[in-house]
Amino acid sequence: MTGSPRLRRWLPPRLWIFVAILAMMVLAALLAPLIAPQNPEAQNLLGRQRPPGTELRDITYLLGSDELGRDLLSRLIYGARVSLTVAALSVLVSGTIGTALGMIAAWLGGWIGTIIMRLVDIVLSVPAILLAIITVAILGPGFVNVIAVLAFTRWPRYARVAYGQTLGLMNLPYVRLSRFMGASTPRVLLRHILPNIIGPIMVVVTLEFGLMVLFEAGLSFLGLGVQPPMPSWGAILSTGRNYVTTAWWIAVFPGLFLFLLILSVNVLGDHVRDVVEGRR
Amino acid sequence: MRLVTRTLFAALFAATTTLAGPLAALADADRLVIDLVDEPTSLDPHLQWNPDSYYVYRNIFDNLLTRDDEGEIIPQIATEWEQVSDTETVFTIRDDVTFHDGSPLTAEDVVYSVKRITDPEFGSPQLSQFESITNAEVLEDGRVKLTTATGYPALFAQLVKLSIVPKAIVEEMGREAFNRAPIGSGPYKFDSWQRGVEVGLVRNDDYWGDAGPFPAAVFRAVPDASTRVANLTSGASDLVVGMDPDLAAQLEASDGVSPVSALTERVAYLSVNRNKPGLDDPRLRKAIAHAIDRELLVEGLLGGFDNPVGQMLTPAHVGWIEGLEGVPYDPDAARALIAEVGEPATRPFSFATSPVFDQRIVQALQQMLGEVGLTVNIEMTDMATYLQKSQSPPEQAPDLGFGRWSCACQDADGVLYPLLHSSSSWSRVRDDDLDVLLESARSEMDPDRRQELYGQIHEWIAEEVPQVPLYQAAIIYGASDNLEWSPTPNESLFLNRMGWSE
Amino acid sequence: MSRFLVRRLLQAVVSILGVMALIFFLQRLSGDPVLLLVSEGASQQAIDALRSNLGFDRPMLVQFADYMTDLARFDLGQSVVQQVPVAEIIKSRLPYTIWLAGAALLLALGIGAPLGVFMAMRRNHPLSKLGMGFVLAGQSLPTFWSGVILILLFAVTLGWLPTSGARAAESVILPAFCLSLLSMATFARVTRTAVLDELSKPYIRAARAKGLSLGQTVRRHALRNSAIPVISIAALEIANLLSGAVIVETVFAWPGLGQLTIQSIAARDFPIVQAIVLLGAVVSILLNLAADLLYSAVDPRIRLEGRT
Repeated sequence: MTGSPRLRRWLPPRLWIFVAILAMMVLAALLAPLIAPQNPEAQNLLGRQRPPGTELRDITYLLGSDELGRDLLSRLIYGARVSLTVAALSVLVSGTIGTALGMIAAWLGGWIGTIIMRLVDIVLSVPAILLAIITVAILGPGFVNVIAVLAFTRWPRYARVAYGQTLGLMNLPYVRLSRFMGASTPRVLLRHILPNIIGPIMVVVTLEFGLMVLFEAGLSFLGLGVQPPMPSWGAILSTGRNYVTTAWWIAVFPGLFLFLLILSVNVLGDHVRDVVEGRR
Repeated sequence: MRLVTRTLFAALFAATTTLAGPLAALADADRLVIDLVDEPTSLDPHLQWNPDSYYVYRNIFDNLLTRDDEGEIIPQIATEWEQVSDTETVFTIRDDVTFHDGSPLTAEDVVYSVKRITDPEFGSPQLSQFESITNAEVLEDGRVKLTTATGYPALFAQLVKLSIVPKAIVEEMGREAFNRAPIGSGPYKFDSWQRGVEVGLVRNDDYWGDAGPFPAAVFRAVPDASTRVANLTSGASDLVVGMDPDLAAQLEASDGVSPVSALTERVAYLSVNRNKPGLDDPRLRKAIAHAIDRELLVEGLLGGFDNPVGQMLTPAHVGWIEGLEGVPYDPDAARALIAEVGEPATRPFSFATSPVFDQRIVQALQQMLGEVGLTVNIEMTDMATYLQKSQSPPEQAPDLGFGRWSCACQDADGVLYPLLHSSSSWSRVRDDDLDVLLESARSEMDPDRRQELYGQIHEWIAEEVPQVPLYQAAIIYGASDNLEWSPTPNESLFLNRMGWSE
Repeated sequence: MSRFLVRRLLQAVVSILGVMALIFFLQRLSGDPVLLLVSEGASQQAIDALRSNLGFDRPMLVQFADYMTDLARFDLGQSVVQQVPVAEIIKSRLPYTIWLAGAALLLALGIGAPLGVFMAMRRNHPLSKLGMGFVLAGQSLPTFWSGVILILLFAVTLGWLPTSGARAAESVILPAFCLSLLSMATFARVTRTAVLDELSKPYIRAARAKGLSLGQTVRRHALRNSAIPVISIAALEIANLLSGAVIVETVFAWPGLGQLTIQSIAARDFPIVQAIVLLGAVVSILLNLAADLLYSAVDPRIRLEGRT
């Protein structure tokens, strides 16, 4: 199976390591309650900032303890859950909304299309992080709000791509034919248009996923991310910055994980783009 | 349409040509470099009330009175004062003071400064601190008389923040120009202001008092605490503000720099909203007070810099009563009380905080409350939203909140009146008897009797728990070992009280 | 062509008006700056006095109408917090951001583009894999983290460069490098694609057939033609860099618009935020337009009417 030439062509062996990294992170996120050695929120104010490997009251802090004496490894495992969920959900929501609106705008055209695409312009013309900051400041930070804000600021990317692609497909003979045969608009869009534009949309998805992880981290840095004590890699990292010289592990491990996650997504995304654009 | 494009391009062009401007010359050795968090928002001392502004302008302007390093109120522009009645005080004004343009400082300027800052039309953020003053006038003998509406023992504590501005110059320059290039009588003169970068001051060699050893000083804006630490350790700055105990540990580990700290008159507390379901039961509020281990917060988390307190004041305040312990840490008592309250204590309680506060403390408090069986959800919003929520009607305000209170007056009235009186929008307490106590304590001129009244108020707080006092906050700076300076509780950076060692 | 321009500009004006209205009301829903300005424990009278002094006691629609009237006269208003004209504040901060973003763009282009060319020519060379790995890695680090590491390494430990601020010309190096990491990979990839595109064209094959080496072909023919897509992507990347500057400027205490943005939002200094949004919207729309025009200039087959 692993040696199959088709798989090799589809996913060259040099990329397997990145797939493995991603798979491990997703697994850690899914199984967090089972594999985390400690409760990620249990503090020990008398055991703060202990180096990796410290044993304290029958607890071994494999990756050390953080600024409140919590087990860093457990926080990172649960943090995988938070960071991946935030990124995945915001990509899912913005991708769905953006793609749908883009297709509708292209298909219907007219004033509805104009309004949608002007809305795209409006949202795109405000720097994304600025819009996110203003919105979080108003809605208040928190898990759901962070996702909402990221989705709200990012959907236009997908809308643009979907719009352009749909315009290109609309006049193809088979699309016109199915229209002529009396297929309803949703049916045409879902059955004939969507499967044909999903490739370019997936390219945007891979680009955006890494960005969303970074954005969440940036919001945490500005104090607008998920609510404490919920761990996200971005949140752990932004506190960890203050301990680079005194408790390096709080800054290094989340940084490393975040880096590996985004790197894997970027490398694989690069590959997806090559495949979709048909350039090998 | 072409015109629009042309204007836009012209604007872009103008913007790029100024590019060469911003890069100034390098630092020289004669100046003291201080890293603040933000730049001062304004240097007109009557227009702005935030630390980054007053750190700077308190060096440009003299105040009517000041506090020495021990915290005693001592003369500055006023040499002596005489209480002629409960509501009237007469100040003698120093006659050898000149402003930076050479014009003499007179009693007229003092009266003008009072009137300017108390004029509601002027809109000073400090209006509230001086509201009690109803009149200021120059007497025939050249002294200045201040009249207050009622007896107001905290008046002197407020006057240490009254900067004296030059009447003739302010009127001639106008508000905007004066804000940009302020002229005062202090030990340092305003020199330059590169927006967003730094404010430069130079020593006033004609100063009537001791102007200190630095020919020049620069206050820079460095928002990120890690960057301020890097600046200090690499020698790019001599003094940095806004350190916390963990950053202090980092400084201790580095050569040539140290943390410098002082206990301030800022009291950290947990507010408990007695208008919310469940919390309207005094037993639950008491349980919350019993659940908090102040000693552990201070020793375990704050590195011992801060000082646990059992009253809503600090030892730096008038009205502090030695030996009053407040509600003790007793988790078993807390659990018992919560069991008594039963069902109303089982709902989740919201806990408001803001990124400017130390999130470690907030999370530790959440854990302590969790350990006695309460469910507490942290709701962190930025400061503007946090303040707006805390100012909303008590029934809609958050259940719990973290706060750090400073009245910058070291007087109980500045803490307890706004936090407890029913007329105040900062208070969630509506209690007629307490109002009477607060009002009489505010205007009681006999110090012993006043102390007694505050004693009663402290007892009321321990019984009713509108807040749980936590600790007297320390302020931690990072300083080069070459700098000699002892910080004071009033969070000021008086340059003329600093010096180089050797 | 000119009809297209007029229509796009008209639509842009409508979009910008929409943005301004959106931001105006969104901001005011999240509290006003008065509570941040007054001293702790200020009495209700003092709070009300300041609020009416700043004009926030008026109905929101009146405030909006006033703001738009002023804006129509090119008056951006007065900073609520600093009490000086907004235009003056923006003017003092803008050069720093242009300086930083410009330097970052140069670095990203200067490193990314040659790497892209190299990757197109020597796809399987280990150096080209290493190079791509490096730029992809750079893109994968949060700037607030890489920034601190850069400061600790190059400024504190090695002492080669200033830690922060904008006092000397070399101050820009660290923040610009940190920011450039965000778009270096994009440039490398776009350049690679563009060069590969050119190399597959018949005239190149003809040139090769005539005996030109690969290096000569690329230098003489492919580079010039593949520069255009790279330049038009640069126009779009500027927007990304400006957005990334928000965090980079905060970390490096760089006194540009990014830092001002964070401070003004936190302080609810409405007129400044409004002005920054306006500036951002105008720049982003102009850049998009420029990118479109560039595309059509390169490739006449792209009909502008069809694009949005």
